Amino acid sequence: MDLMNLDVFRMAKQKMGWITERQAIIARNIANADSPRYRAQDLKPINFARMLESTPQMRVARTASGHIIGAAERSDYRAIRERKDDVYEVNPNGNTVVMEEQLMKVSESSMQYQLATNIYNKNLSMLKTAVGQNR
Amino acid sequence: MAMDLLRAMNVSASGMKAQGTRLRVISENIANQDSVGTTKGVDPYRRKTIVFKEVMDKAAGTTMVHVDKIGRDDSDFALVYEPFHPLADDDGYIKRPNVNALIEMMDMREAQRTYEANLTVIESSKTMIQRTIDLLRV
Repeated sequence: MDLMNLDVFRMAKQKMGWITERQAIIARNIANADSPRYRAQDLKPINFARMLESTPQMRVARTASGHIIGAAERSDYRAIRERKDDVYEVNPNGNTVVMEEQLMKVSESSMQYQLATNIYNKNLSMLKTAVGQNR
Repeated sequence: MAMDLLRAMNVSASGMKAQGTRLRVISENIANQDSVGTTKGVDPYRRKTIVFKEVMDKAAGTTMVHVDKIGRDDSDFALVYEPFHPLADDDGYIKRPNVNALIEMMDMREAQRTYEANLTVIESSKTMIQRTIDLLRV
């Protein structure tokens, strides 16, 4: 049985994937908090309703060693640059990273991730109860 | 998926390294805030500045923070009236470095704050990896 056929597991997995990708972007923002002209980025929120309908992406197989694999690792999500009007303040050197905002996002990611792993866990134990091995 | 988290940790580590270099420059400035020229007519210590830049790292698949350049602050030296100083000019003035201890202190605080923020991100990423591993323990 493939757990990924169940919507709850698939959504939890997708949520975790989105959060990890966002975490990488926030890390980049914070690391560049003092780089002149750096503009803060964020990940576009996922739309779960649309994600449930969408078909999985397919990759071209590599059948000979001479083949070049397409774009190395394309992300399913889209990073957006925050517009200057949307951020709280812009540094005189053109940097738009606001540390407080970014740290709020870090803790939010952390909590959302915990939520996703807990959903995964609870569903798994529910399945185990149904199977009758929940000792 | 875990790759993204490791990548986040790498980026944060590069940010911490950049802040470390910045702290080195600041300490050079503070240590030299009284370094006047060695002989008469020679300029005193000139304050150093540091600029960061976002650099694409193909191997890591993300952008890292690097030190763009360590430059020199071109602002004027302070002229202090010290007629009995061995290096004083004919009018009794001596040039002192253009280092302002207050500015350096504020810079130091900022470096420290950003360093801590990077550390927080690393810790948070680590917790997330740990939680993923814990899924195996059900």
